[in-house]
Amino acid sequence: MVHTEKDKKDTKKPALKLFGRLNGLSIWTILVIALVLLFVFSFVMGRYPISPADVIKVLISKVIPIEHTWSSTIETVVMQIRLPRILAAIIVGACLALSGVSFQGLFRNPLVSPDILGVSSGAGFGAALAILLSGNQLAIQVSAFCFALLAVGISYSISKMVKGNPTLSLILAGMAIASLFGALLSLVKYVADPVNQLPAITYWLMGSFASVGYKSLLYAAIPMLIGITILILIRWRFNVLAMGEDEAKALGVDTGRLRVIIVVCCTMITASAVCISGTIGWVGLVIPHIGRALVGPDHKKLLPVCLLIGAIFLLLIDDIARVVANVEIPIGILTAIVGIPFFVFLLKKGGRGWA
Amino acid sequence: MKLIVREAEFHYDFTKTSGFKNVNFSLNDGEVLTILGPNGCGKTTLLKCLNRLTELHGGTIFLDGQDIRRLPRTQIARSIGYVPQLHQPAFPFSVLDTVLVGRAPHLGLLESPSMADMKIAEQSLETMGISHLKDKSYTQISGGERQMVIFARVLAQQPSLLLLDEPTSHLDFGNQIRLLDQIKKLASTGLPIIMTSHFPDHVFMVSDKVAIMKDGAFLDCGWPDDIITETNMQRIYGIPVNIRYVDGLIKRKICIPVTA
Repeated sequence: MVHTEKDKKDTKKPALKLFGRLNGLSIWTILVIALVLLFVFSFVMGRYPISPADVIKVLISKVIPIEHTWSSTIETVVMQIRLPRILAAIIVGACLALSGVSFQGLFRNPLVSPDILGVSSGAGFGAALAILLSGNQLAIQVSAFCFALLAVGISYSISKMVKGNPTLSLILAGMAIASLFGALLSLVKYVADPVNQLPAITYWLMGSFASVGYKSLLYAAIPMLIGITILILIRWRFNVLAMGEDEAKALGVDTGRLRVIIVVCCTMITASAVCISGTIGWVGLVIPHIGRALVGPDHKKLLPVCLLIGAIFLLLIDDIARVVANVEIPIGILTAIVGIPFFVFLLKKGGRGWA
Repeated sequence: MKLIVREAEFHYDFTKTSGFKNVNFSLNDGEVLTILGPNGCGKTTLLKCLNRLTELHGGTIFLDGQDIRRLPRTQIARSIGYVPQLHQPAFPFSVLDTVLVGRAPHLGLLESPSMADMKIAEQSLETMGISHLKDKSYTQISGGERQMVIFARVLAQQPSLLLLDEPTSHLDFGNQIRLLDQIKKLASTGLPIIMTSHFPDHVFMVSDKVAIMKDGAFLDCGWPDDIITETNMQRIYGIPVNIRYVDGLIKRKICIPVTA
C-alpha cells in the first residue's frame, strides 16, 4: 500500500471522532454497559410481553431465592426460550468477530473474513449432508463442526505443500477448498428432497438462533471459550505478525507455530459458532473495522473490543430478526442488510482503521 | 559482540549456478561494514542469512563464538536487529505501538509490553530524535520519518549487532545524509553494523570496512580506501569512475562516474 502525497492529505482523523478522545478502557466500560442493558432489553423483545422488572427478578431468582411474583409462563419464556437464544447470539457474535479480527491480523489484510479457509463452506456441506441423511439436530451440528474442521485442515495441508509466501498460499488454498465444498453443497442440494430437505438446508444456510437449546450451547461453548481465551492471551503478538513474515521472524517470533495456534483457535470458535447458528456472514468482516475505528489497530485493545462489539451487534440483529416481521427473518440476511450500509458508511468516512 | 562468517554458501536453486559461496569476514564492536555490489548479487540474501531468516547451504556463522544454528530464534533476535529494505505495515499502527513491537524478543508468548518496555520504546524514539511523532499514525508520516521509526524499533530491541538492508534507499538526499549520521552515532556507541548499499560515497562517509560482492562471492574486503578503487568499481558496476580525495572541510574520497 503505497501512500501518495494526496493520500496523506486526504487521511482524516479517526472515523468516529466522537470516540477519538476516549481511551481503550473507557470504550470497554461503555461497551460492557451497553451489552448488559441490551441483554436485559432482549428478554423484553418478542411476541409474549414481559416487563424488564420481571426479567430481572426471574434472573435474580436463579442466583438468590426471592419471592415469586411472576407467572410460570413468564419463567418458561425467560429461562427456556429467550435465555438460550440470547446467550447463543452473544457468544456466536463474539466468536465470529474475534476470529474475523484474528484472521485479518494473521493475513495482514483488513478484507479477510473468518470464512477465508473454507470453514463456513465445510460446515454448510456437513450440515446439508446430515440433513440429507438423517435430519437429527445433533447429527447436523456434529457433522457441520467436523466438516468445518476438515475443510480448514485440507486448506492448511495444501498450503504446507506450496513453496513461497505462506500466508498467500494459505489464502489461495482456502479459496480453492471453499469452492470445492460449495460445489459439494450444491450437489447435496441437487439430490435433496425438494419438499422437506431442501428448505431445511436453505434455512440452515441462512442462519438462525431459533432452535438453540442449552445442551448444544453447552457443547459449543467449551471449544469457544478455549479458543477465545488463547486468542485473547496472545493478542499482542498480532502486532508483531502484522509487521510481516521476515520482520516477525527477525523479532524472534516462531511465525509458523504462531500461525498454527491462531488458525486452530479461529477454526475451533468459528466452527462451533456456525454449528449452532448456521452460517452468518458479515459479522467477522465488519466488526473488526468498527473496532479499529473505535480504538485503532493495536491488537492489544482491539481484540477484547471486537469481542464485545460482535456480541452486541449479533444480539441486536437477533432482536430485530425476532420482532420486525410476523415471520422470523433469517439472521444471515439481516446481518448483511444492516451490516453493509454501516460498512459503506465507515469506508466513506475513512480513518485509521484500514490502510 | 564479535561476528565471524566462515565459507558462507547459498544457492537459490539446485543448479548451483546462482547464489554465493566462499564468503568470509568478521566484525568487531563499533565497526561498520558496508556490502557493495550490483543488483541481484545476493547482498540481501547474505544479510538475511546472518540472522537466520534464510538458512545457509554451507559454511558457519559464529556470534560471540556460538554457531547461530544452535541458537533459538528469540536469542538471535535479542542479539541481532534487522531493518528490511522497505517496511509496509498492514495496519496504521501508531508510531509508539510500532516501536514497542521491537520488545517482542524480550517478551513471552502471552506477555504484553510493560511500563518498562514502554520506557525503552520512548528512549529509542528520543535517541532517533522523533519523540514528537509518538502518537502519529505510521501511515501519516513521511518516508524519511518512517525509516527513523523502524530504526527506533530496532533500537528498542536492544541488539548487539545491526543488519541494515539498503537503509538509505527510498530516502531523499537530505534524509540519506541524516540517516548516515545516525548510523555513525550508533556505531560510535560500540554497536557493530552491517549494511548493504549502492553508494560508494556512503562507504567513505560511514564505513570502517567494505566488502564488494559480484558473481556470487566477495571480490574483496577491507579498508574503504584500499577497496573502493577505480578498477574495482569498473569491475563490479561496469562503468568508468573517478575517485578523488577532497581536502578542506570534507577530507575524504569521493566517487564520480565518468560520463560522455
